Amino acid sequence: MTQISQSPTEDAGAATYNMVDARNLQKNYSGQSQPALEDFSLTIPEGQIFGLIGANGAGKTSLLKILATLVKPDKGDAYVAGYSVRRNPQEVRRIIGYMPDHYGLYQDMQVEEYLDFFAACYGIRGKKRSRLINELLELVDLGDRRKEELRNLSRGMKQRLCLAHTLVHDPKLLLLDEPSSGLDPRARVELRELLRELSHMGKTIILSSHVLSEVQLMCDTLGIMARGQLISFGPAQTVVNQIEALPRRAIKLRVLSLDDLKRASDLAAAFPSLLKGSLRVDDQNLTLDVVIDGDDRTSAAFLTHLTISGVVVAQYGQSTARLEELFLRN
Amino acid sequence: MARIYLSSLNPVALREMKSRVRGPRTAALFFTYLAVLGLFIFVVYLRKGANASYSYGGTLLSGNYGPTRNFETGQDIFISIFLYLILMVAVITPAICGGLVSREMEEGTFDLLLVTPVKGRTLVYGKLIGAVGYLFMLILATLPLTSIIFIFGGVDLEDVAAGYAIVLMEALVFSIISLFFSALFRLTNIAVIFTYFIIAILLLGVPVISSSLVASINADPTRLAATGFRIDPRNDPDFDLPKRIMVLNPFASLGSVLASNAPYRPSNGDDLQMFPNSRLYWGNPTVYYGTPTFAPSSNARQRYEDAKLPVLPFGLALWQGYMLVYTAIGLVFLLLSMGVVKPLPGGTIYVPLKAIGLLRKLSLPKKGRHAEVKTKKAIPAIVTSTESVHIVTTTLEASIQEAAIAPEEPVQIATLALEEPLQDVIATEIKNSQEVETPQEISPAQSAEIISLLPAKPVREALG
Repeated sequence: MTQISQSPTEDAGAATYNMVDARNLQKNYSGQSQPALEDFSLTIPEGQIFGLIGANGAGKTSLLKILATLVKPDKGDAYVAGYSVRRNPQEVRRIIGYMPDHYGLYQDMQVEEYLDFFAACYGIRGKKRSRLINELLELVDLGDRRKEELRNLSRGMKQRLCLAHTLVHDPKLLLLDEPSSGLDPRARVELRELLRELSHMGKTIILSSHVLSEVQLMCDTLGIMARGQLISFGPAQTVVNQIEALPRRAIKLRVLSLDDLKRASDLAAAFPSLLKGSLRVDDQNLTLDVVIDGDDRTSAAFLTHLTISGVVVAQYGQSTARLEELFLRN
Repeated sequence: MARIYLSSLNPVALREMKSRVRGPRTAALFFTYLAVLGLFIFVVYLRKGANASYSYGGTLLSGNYGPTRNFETGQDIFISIFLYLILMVAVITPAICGGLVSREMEEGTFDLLLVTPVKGRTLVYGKLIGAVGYLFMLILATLPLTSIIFIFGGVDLEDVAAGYAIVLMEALVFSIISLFFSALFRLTNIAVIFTYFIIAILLLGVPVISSSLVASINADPTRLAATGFRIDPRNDPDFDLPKRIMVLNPFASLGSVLASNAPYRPSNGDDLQMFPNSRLYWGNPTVYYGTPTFAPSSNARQRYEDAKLPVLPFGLALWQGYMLVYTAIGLVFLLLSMGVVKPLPGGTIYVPLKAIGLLRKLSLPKKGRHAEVKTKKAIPAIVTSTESVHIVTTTLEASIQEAAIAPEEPVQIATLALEEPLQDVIATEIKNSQEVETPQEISPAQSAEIISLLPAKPVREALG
């Protein structure tokens, strides 16, 4: 193991340092053949918004849970602002604010009480607490809802409240697991602005998503995960360009009837540039997922082919849920 | 003021209390439960009759038809109220506490709590204060109804205090057990079932075990008890021993509270019977009035012996023993639940994990030695056929892993025992198997292209 500074103040004294430093993390869940994280290393400098992209089961949540001290890595260690999540979880907890993917709220509490409760959990007392709650409610734009019971809040409001609760102790690092899932476009824009604001306040933010387009505008840096490993990492624009430069296209299309879906899947199966075994049909949502060997012209050709053959296509677009196939499959 | 104080001290407790009393549910529960108890007392009173110092009508609990006196009515009401409370606590506690931790896990609020620096013990205490406070409130809300007893007499203030102590202790300990199971299984249903199971053992199982043990001792012809002669339990502890496990039973403890208030009892103070005036006690029923005059070897005499309270060390009454034993049980489960609630290190006492870790440390060297011997034995089989080499290498690896300690040793033994050419075969086999395991799903040209695009160092290392 590399040398580790026992006192984190050594690191903190430097002008810029790595907020997150994950080293060779390994995590296996019992009953699963594939490891959730495999020899995973990652460094994120202070003050960045880092987007973690990957399909479901790529290991995003495991990584965030390890950084949030909820799960212990089997091997390796991660350092948050110099503190080890293995040996110093209590210190790490004071630095991070964590918003899980699926979280519950105490339904019978009021907005104000909820924040008050978590502020008390972090040991914030007295007048400072009530001032802080006012500020937070202002920040997430819930000031006029302070007496509302949580069960009456909309999904977007709950998301903002949960974000507010992660901020009560002024954390340096925010870990947000799928913060934009289930939000309508307007709420997503609001979230983006909120994150920008937090970033200006000097916070480092890690957020995960399985849809690239949802987060590519929010992030400074992007990392793409598949099978517990980073397969791409770098400045957001570079990663996006890199995906666009790949000689592959993952395409998701939606049709209007089951009949069309059947025909479209037959046509897709016969399409020469289709990546073998990549065809996925969803009868419920009338959608079709394919990966095509080729660039934009090939994907345009595929659409034309469908349309000429009489399939009415309602939606046709790039799918980022299958990024790993773009990178890995042959 | 209390709100601010509690909120800084233990935010979890404040939250638990708030959400418990919020809404109309609590008020409805209190009303129904007190109304039922009031009705119950009224029925006991009617059945017993209370118009004069003497009345005829028999008692609900004793079924003993004959003249009854006011103090007996008081004692019957006392017993009724506290039996009701003991049962109520046994039924309600798992329902209230079974979800203390597991419901938070099921609803997804627990992770949010775990990433805060709140300590395991703060969580446990907070949750207990919330739940136990609620139960105590339910129990103590019966105080006005209980005061009716003093109209009739036959019960001292200390007896009522002892009765409440028994019920409050029961509520506390059952809550702790419930909390422990809730944190252990992380599933409310299973936690509730387990808690009910433990409660059933304490409330029903213990008397059955105790009385059947007493009966089996009675059946032993070599014992004096069978001959009908009076035995002092202090001279024959075997006979008294099975009765002592009744300290685990709140019903029996309640019975022992009034034992010294029995209207007629032998001048010798040791002969205290459980539940005076009533058939409702464990073991064989005895209706006991007046100083006993038994013919030797009569059944009545035997029953009298059976129903006597056990003699506890230090001259403790049964209910006092119960208080001590339950305190111990409560403490043990409290320590266990603190570890289970927040198992990650950081300001937590995790007794079970530490104990398991210690056991593992102690048992490991033995295991290592054992595995080493096994590898030696396995070697002759390796040399027999080249086809099985692959299997052999994997078993070797497995046994090395099993050995855990000093993995070099068995490997050395294995390589020494092998012939030269076979060693090469194994080496290539291992190499091949490693190559197969790493996914080679990308053509070299493509991978070079992608890798060149990747700016980050760790990825290049991982792929290249």
